[in-house]
Amino acid sequence: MRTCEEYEALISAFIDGALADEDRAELMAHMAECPACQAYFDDQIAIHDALADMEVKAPEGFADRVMAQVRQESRQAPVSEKQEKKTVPFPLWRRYAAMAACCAIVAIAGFWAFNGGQLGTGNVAADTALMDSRSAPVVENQENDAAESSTPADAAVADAVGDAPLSDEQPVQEAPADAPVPETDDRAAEGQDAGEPETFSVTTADSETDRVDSAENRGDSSPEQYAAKDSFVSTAYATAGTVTLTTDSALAEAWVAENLGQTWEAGASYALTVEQFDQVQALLEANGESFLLAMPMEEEAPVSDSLDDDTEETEEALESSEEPIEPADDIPAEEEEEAPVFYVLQAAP
Amino acid sequence: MTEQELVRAAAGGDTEAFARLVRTYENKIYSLAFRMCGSADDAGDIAQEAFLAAWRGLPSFRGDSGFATWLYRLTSNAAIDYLRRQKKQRGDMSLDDEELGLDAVDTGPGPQDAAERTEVRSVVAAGLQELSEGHRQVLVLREIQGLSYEEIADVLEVDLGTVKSRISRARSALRKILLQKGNLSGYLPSNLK
Repeated sequence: MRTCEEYEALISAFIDGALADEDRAELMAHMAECPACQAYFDDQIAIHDALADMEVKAPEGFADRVMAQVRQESRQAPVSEKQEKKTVPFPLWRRYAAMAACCAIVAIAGFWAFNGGQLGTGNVAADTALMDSRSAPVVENQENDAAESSTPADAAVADAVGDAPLSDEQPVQEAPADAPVPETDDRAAEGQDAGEPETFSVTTADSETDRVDSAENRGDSSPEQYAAKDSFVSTAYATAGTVTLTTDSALAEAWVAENLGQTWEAGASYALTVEQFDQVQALLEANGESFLLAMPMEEEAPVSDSLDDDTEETEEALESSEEPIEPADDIPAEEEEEAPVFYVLQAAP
Repeated sequence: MTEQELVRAAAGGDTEAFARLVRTYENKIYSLAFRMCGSADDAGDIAQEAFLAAWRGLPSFRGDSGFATWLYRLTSNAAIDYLRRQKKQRGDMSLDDEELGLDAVDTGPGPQDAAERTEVRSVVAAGLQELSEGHRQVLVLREIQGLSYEEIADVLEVDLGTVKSRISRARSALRKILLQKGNLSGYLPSNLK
């Protein structure tokens, strides 16, 4: 014998046409003897009838307004201000995981500086730190401007569609030694051991956030996506070397064709100005596209015109991170004064 | 063109194809938004945001779920986000789903009044706004949008059993609200008194 509450569930299934014949017979028999359930049934039928015809029409011109916005967005491939404000393409924990990765690497670099770390072991350690941090920390407090203005619809896009391209096997992006960016070649020739793989770290600028809670580690098995805010270039550890944004997004492909007049080829790199870089990054973020943001930690900074606001603190951080890798007598400190950054868009290999 | 072809074309940047999709779904999406938030103006914003999110996400839409299901999900999420922002703006920091009150939601007169001129329908519509967010969501998807249990499970990303029991509880809760307001003449079962 079922309880009345259980019969309510049967009534619900009955209304939805999902009740098996034998259950229906039992329900009817019960209602014949139970006025409470009969009343419940009658009321639910009345509610159902009232609800069933409640679809409302969209206001006049609604579709036109939506399409006006869509066309505006598709005309200006770079995202509109509105989009930038409203979109958070990735779960925030990923951003903070990326930030934590960077902090870990900076900390390790500092540790080497104090311990006279040796070339060779550093890269391994940095890689390990990065790998660990990818699956670990999550900032609990996600209240920031982006979160305030985000819409779950956007998040849903990221969740529903943004988990594709970059594979787990390439969380750390190596810059191709022969990348078609002339400055990169120069840098490799003069400052780097040509055969030494460059270590890249994921970086982000959410430096105001420092609370990390590993309890929220989701151990997400989906491919990693790292994103950074536009301001990341102003952080101390992002002022040296090359910032590389790797993606296989069709949007990036279209952007390159339209703005650089170049053909998108897997593995190819495209030198960008900081403005262009920000534009591409914002475009990808606004559309929930996957990309990997990476920069080298231990290389001599190549010449560039993109940044000139380095602080002394920046230079110190740079020096300390370089010491373990480059013997002190190799690079006079003066050469690092400008510590500029290259911005490279790379088509995922 | 089939819907699938339209979706593919729109994913490739064809705005005309997307416009056809928007026209196909505008009433359903607007209805969902309206029934979720109870305000005509906000429903317009929510529905527009959902369509824009779809446009932005289409290039990467893999079609694991149908386009409609995906669109309902975007709308439903946008509506819930809206309700939470409303809640927050009112100064209550609790974002607990079941705790989410809706008393301050604008249920005032709107262009939909004509569609609700019958008394029963308007009291049920008002009762709907007093349900918890989760209950309202599942009832709107089932009763107004006409989604099957399976489709709702897809939209909400919960299992089928959860959908069935949540719908049943939502119906029960709605009836209780209407009874307490004196809008139903039914017999109140002892377990609801």
